[in-house]
Amino acid sequence: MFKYFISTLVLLSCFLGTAQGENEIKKDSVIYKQTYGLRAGIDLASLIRTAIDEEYTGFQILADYRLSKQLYIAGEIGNESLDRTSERVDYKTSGSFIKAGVDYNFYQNWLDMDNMIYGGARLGYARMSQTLKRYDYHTDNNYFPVYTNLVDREFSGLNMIWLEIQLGCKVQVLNNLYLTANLQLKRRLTEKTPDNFDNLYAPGFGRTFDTGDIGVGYSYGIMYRIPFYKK
Amino acid sequence: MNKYSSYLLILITAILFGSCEKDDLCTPDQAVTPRLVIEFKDVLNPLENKAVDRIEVQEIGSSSFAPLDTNGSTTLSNTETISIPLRTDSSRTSYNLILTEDGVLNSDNIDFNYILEEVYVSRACGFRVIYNNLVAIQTAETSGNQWIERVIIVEDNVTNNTDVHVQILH
Repeated sequence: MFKYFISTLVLLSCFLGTAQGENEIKKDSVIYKQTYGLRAGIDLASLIRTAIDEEYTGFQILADYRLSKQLYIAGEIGNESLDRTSERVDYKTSGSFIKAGVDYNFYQNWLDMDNMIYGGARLGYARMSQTLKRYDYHTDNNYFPVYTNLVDREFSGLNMIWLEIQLGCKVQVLNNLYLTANLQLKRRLTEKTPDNFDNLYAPGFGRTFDTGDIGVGYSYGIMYRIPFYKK
Repeated sequence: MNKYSSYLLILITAILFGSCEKDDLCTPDQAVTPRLVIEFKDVLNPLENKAVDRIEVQEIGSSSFAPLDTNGSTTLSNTETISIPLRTDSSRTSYNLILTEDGVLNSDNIDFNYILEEVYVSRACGFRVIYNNLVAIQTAETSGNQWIERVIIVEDNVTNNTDVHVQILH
């Protein structure tokens, strides 16, 4: 729960920090040119989780490329591995993912600032393998001892495709250096599940839910822009 | 700032959604390993139910009695039906069905043989077992009288607790 709380705080600080600019829209004879270029960075959320959560390892690269004043092509690529012990089932999922789409900047920059409060859309694809490591049979009585199956059953060649919307910000803290944070809401479109088992986690998508196709996630990181030209 | 408040609302919804853990609860209806449901019938008129006075069921080699209903009762009086667990680690469960009538104990042995099949249910429930190709073999007694006259398999695939799987005529 705290992880959501922290990412909300980061996001809120973006909104607060940028709110002052709104009252100051003024016509000026000076024209501020905007920089166009490729922005690339890494996701700190998965690095930090790798350090503190021993069940998890992950790495993710973030990138966007500016098309127009408000529109960017954007995407993420990475890999994740989760080795999870739960009440009924122990499993391990590992694999890689790619997400591609666009970001639209809603924020009206003041002077030569270059910040974003954006909504993003992505199509995501993950390819993973999942290993079933332990499971119990679910029974309504304990007349017979609970039979625990210790196995090492690997299902490879699994995949998942999903649609994702993002809400976040990218703030320039130094020249060409940005901090970014976002929240993600995803809806699974299609998947290849193991026989007589299910995709309990998918890289880039996160954990799945028994009750539906929805997934949630977050990310925060640091990005650097390689400037190409000004317009 | 007003136009951002709607985004905030979406964010908060997303966060609430993310922390919602309700699907980690396993609802037992169809998700649990089924029990063997046995119905007692009248041997003179197999269409009629015939209750047993007092019944207990014990696995051979076990010191405790098996639960006969979902409340876990191990003794039932004047009942027409019982539901007993089957082993999930062996394709045979051997039971003594102990009838008490007018203070006299009468124990008859039935072996239930089946093919185990495991079925994935959900993240919260994990796996369960269903039993296929059920066969019941009554051990003939050389001395004494058997209270069970016939065992009939009504449904040889045990997949839920609502079907009757076996009829015992007595």
